[in-house]
Amino acid sequence: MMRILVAAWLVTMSIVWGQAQVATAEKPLTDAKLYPATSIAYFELSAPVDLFATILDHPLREKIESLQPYQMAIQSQQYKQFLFGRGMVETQLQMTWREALETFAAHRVSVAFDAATQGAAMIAHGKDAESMKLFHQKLLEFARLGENRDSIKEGEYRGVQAYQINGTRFAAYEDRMLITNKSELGKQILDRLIDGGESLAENQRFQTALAARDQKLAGWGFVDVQAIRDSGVAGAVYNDKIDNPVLELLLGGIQSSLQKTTYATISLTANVSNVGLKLGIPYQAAWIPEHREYYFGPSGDGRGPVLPAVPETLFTLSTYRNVSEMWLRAGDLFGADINDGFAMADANLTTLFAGRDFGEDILGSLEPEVGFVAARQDFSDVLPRPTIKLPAFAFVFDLKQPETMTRELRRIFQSLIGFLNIVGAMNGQNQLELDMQKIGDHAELVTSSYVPEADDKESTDAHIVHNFSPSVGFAGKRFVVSSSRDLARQLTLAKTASPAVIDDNTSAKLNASVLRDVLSDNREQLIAQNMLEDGNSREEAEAVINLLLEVVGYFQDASLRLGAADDQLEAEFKLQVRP
Amino acid sequence: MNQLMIDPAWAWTQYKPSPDVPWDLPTAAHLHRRAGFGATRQQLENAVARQPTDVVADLLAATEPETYKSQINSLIKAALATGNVKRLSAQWVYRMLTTPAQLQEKMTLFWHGHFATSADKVADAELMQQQNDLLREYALGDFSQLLLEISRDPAMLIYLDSVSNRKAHPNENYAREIMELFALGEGNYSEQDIRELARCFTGWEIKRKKFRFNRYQHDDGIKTVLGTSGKLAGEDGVAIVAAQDAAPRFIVRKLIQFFVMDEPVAADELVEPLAIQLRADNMQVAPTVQRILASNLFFSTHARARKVRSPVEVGVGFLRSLAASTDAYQLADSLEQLGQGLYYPPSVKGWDGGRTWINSSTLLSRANLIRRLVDGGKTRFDKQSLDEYLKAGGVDSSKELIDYLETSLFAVPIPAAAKDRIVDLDASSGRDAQRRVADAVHILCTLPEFQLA
Repeated sequence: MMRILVAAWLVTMSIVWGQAQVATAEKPLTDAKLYPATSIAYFELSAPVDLFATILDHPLREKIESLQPYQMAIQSQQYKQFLFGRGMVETQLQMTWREALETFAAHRVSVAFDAATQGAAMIAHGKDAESMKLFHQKLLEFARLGENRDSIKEGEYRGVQAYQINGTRFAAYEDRMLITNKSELGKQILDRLIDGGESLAENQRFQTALAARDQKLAGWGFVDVQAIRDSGVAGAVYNDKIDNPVLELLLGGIQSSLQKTTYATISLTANVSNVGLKLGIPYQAAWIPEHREYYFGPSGDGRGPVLPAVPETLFTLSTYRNVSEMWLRAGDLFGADINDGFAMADANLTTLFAGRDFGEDILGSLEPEVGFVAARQDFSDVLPRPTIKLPAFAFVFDLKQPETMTRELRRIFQSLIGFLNIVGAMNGQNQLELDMQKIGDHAELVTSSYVPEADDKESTDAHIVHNFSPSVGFAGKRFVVSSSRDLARQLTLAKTASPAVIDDNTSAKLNASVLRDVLSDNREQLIAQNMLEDGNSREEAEAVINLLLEVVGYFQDASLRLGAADDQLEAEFKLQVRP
Repeated sequence: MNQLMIDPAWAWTQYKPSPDVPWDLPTAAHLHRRAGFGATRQQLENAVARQPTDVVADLLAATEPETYKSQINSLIKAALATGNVKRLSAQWVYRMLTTPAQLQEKMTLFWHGHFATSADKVADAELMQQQNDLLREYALGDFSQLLLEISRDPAMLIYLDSVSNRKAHPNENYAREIMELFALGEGNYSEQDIRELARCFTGWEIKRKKFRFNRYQHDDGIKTVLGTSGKLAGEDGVAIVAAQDAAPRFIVRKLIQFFVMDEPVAADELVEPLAIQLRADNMQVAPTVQRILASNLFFSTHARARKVRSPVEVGVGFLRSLAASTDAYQLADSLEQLGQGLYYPPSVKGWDGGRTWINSSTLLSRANLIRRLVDGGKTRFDKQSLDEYLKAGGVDSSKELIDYLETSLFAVPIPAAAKDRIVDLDASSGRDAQRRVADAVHILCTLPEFQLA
């Protein structure tokens, strides 16, 4: 029982991280003055009460709580035990758990990591000294009732009472509660609370970061990248090579920036309609070495393309990556093993692409602005209809020399389909049927589709291959490679946007309502998967999948952008909630 | 060969509970372990409240309700949509765990080992499931018809390299296996019979995953198979094989080995009455199985704990006995590692079974499997943790835990030393209840006694 009480108290306190913010007349901008100058990472929830209210009073909460699985979960024994423990805590504190949270973290909650002591600390800036003393006292009482009461140690530092439970130190000073895993760090923080001293706030890089901080944030953090780099910790992050082609493509430019940048900041925003997390570092185009020019472009301002809009778009990715350059510079970017793989892939792909050099001729024929689109497929009037309904996907490129490459790529595609048919026939797989369409004067499609077996033509539970009808489309400079004929047609015929590029190097967006539809299309598959994976009955699996679909339906979209501007490299993730 | 000599009249007489062999929880557990994959304490108590013959009759009569079949079909459809046989294996594990038709499923597993066909070679999930459905359809039905159907089953013919059989070069593979492994056994046919039967099968082909008779490739000359002559077709050949006296003997001997005891092999005298019955029943398997399961021999010391649990019986049996559900993918993988991959029998001979299930490596792996199941986050015991489930079943002390598990999971009494160890462990341990129970279950399931079914 005591364990439940202590756990409930700790849970209550930990939730505090999502709240507070009462009046802030003389509230300092951060808690940086309280942490030692050797601190290398700092994060705070600037207005915990507001954030807490955003979460707890959000309309979504009511919807989730009305769901059947939630109602079932709160009937469980564990939840009832938790409620009992929470009730005990509330009785002891003589306030509801929410009041307790809002009191405990009324002004701010901050955490920091100190390199000198290798310790982490949290400071909760509560409502007033009396409340924090009460929390301090009650926590000690609960701990004494617990199983490990013999391990509680009490002490005093400069007149401040402190105690230690299972390696964690607690102390209350005026309206602040300090929690740390290192005594030395705790003492240093108490020194600064009592009479100040050299602190993180004097760190030049911290000051620069703070000066650029947006004031209306739910949370803000700082990482002293230079100090970490100088200390030799996390050396792998600062290596010149990632040695993984996929990670290189995703993070190569960021890694080069981390080798030079001095700090990083984290900004958290949260309101009723969205949650956002932004990571930023100082950035200069000159920091990017020549062999990674493929990432941001030669002048460091490569931008992704504006993608044509198509119905039922599930996911879009627009990015600037000179893939040909990366392929040809593999020798500089990767180690020997990866390069062996590249050499083998190059030889095979060159064969597959009818003798054209894959890196130079094929990838080299494409502009570095690359788009990827995934869209839900509508199978309502299509037969055979696959059991598993996958989204169609396509890459959208611009050709450097459409007048010569269109013909080349058309021929290569035809050869590729022929090759797939030969291999498929050897393995008893369905064959692809080629078709060509000229649309107006400027567009053409080369499509292929799987020929169904005679007794499969009307099937509504056909094989997964019937999701695919590999196709390519050409329209002026635009070159589309798609998994489906319809998507190829839509993307090929869509009007060219103006301006042609976005403001960022990379932008990705996931449409939650289409995702929900895609998941709904495959509801039976998901139920089957859940039954086998979790051992659930059909009814239980249906409840889980229905919940998943409901929850996904509450969101509008999720987006991620990577942009370099104003000497700043920013990566921002945003989750939009449906109004 | 070591043979069991026993009075057949006594052996196959219907079992009547007596003070020596009472109809109690351990006896009911024995029946459910053999005729299915185990039963919960509650199911055992329900069984004991009834007559054993009625319980056996119910096991034979049990069928899967249409709603359940439709749910299983959706799992099969989902697996086939991906073409992934591993997913099919998981589906079968799920079915074994949840089907109300336990004996039908146990017999399906029996036929899967008998007409062994591996997805390793067939490499087609649809054909493997087609065969599995066939085995289930005839699990307790007409053996002669099953033999004919399996002889035209695409997965089987692909597995035995018999997708084509031309009159110029009769393929003897299937002709040999049907007599040696599927219906008669060695010594009941000659090489000439194989050659002649192979001629009957000429023209039998698999094209585009379907059986086809190519009349142009069929040898329509006179053949003599096992003493019967004529212009025999493949169907005639199968019927001649099934009509041999050796056929019911061969099947009955395997059924006795499967349901009653791994060793010793049943003597001819013991087999004969059932072989006569099987023939008299027109090769319908159900009455013979019923007679075995309701017999004096089945409930006697000759049968109790005289089989080594197969990996399926270890994993699925453990879970079913404790009303548990789990990650079927993981369990299917574990079964494969223990040597009983569903849809993946090791050879055309199927699994040898018996003592071959056990060696130093598999013994450790079996214990690890139980540990994984107990610790696995996805294993729930009647939707609860193990200690909650046992508490709900009235288990409050280590002694009660031992008694409970001994009845549900063990074919023989747990040694006193092991019981003492559990009691000591419980007394000395400061760990939480869930951990204590998990440790106790794990320790008990590592005992050699647990390996016996």
